[in-house]
Amino acid sequence: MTEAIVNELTAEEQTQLECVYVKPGTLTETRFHYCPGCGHSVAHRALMEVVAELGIQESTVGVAPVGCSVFAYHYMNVDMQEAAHGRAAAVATAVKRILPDRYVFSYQGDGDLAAIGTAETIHVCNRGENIMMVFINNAIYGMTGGQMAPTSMLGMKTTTTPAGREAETSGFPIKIADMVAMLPGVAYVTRQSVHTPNAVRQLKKAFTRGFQYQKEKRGTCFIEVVSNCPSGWKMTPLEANRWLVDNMFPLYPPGDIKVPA
Amino acid sequence: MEKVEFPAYVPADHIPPKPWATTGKPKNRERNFVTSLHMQPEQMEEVNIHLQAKYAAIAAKEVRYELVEADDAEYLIVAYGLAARIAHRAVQLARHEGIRVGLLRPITLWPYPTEVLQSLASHLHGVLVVEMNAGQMVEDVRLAIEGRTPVRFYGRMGGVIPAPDEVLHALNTMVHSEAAQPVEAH
Repeated sequence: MTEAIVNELTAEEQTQLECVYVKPGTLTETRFHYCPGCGHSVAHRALMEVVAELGIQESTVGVAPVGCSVFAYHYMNVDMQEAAHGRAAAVATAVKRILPDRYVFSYQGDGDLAAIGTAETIHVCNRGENIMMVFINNAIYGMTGGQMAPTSMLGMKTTTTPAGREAETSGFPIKIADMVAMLPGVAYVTRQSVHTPNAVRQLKKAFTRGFQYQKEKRGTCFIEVVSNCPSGWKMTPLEANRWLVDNMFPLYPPGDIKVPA
Repeated sequence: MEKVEFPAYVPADHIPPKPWATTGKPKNRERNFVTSLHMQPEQMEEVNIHLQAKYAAIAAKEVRYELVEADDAEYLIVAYGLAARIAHRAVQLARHEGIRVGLLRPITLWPYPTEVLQSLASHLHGVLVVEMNAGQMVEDVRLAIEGRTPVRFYGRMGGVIPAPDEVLHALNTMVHSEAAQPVEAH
């Protein structure tokens, strides 16, 4: 489409064009399959832009999750592994230990990282594995149809809590970023978001710091991304991003939770 | 029983190249990604066909078993693991009593030593399967024998270790039963 617009310009006009924004080479040509407004596309792009800006495409290995972003390796133009559900950080541990000079990241949602993969998440952090864990938290199981996730807020209506999540039967939402921040092996924990351009810029800074700390062998870097699920939440993209601010930020406020000394 | 055999040490730079490995994408190659998930049915089927060929190659090359006193055997005990050790002693006791019995000890349960069982089946008067469970491998034996000769089962459960004379008794019961009566399991 961009080419078509450019072709309509005169030769002289074309010479005056300056390229100010392009798709980074760290993303493939494959189109995102995500729902309109989904935070995954934005988070994928932010992460891959950082990889491009740091010039580490050749030395980065990622581990994909199970969930909506199971096909992350179709979009991210770096070497990647698929992991069994919940085990991305464990696989990333193996990659990092075999190839300690590479940048290794795992990318998981809340069901993957904070439910089925809780054991791996906690123990990878407790061992202080020198990897970057990206945690996309949208408080719901998106791919399977909007069921309650461990991170769902009290009172939140999901397909498995139609009357709203109650602590008596479903427990409390897990603030896993705050939990892993307690562990001495964890160097950097931050909570960011993707709902505004400024939030995306902050997220990119967090990714940049995560890779930098990994280079310095500081320990585990854990980056939570408060995200949305317009389809699962039954909202328009705009409504979802507003709902995120009103309903998720009170429990999951953005900002650094732990930074290296 | 099989001992663990450690292959000789191979230095890392002597192992075959792995062009598929996720070591970081150089500029001159496409990215590598390791996955078992393909959403295109045709693509997934290709993987399945590849895996089936792999299983067939394993089935053809990797069958392992031990045959004891099988040359003149009229009866055969099939047992693996601990039960096979006990059955081995029972075979010695039975031979002492004049019963022509042998032992087939599958070392691989998959691929299963189906062919050797089939080749022996037509010469046998009966097969006794001995296991320390309610009968798991006995189904593989029956699939291989395909009714050519009676297949009996003797098993103990819960971790009870059968004594050789128990197995011998089960064998004797089968040998002396003219009709196809199942050997009673405890």
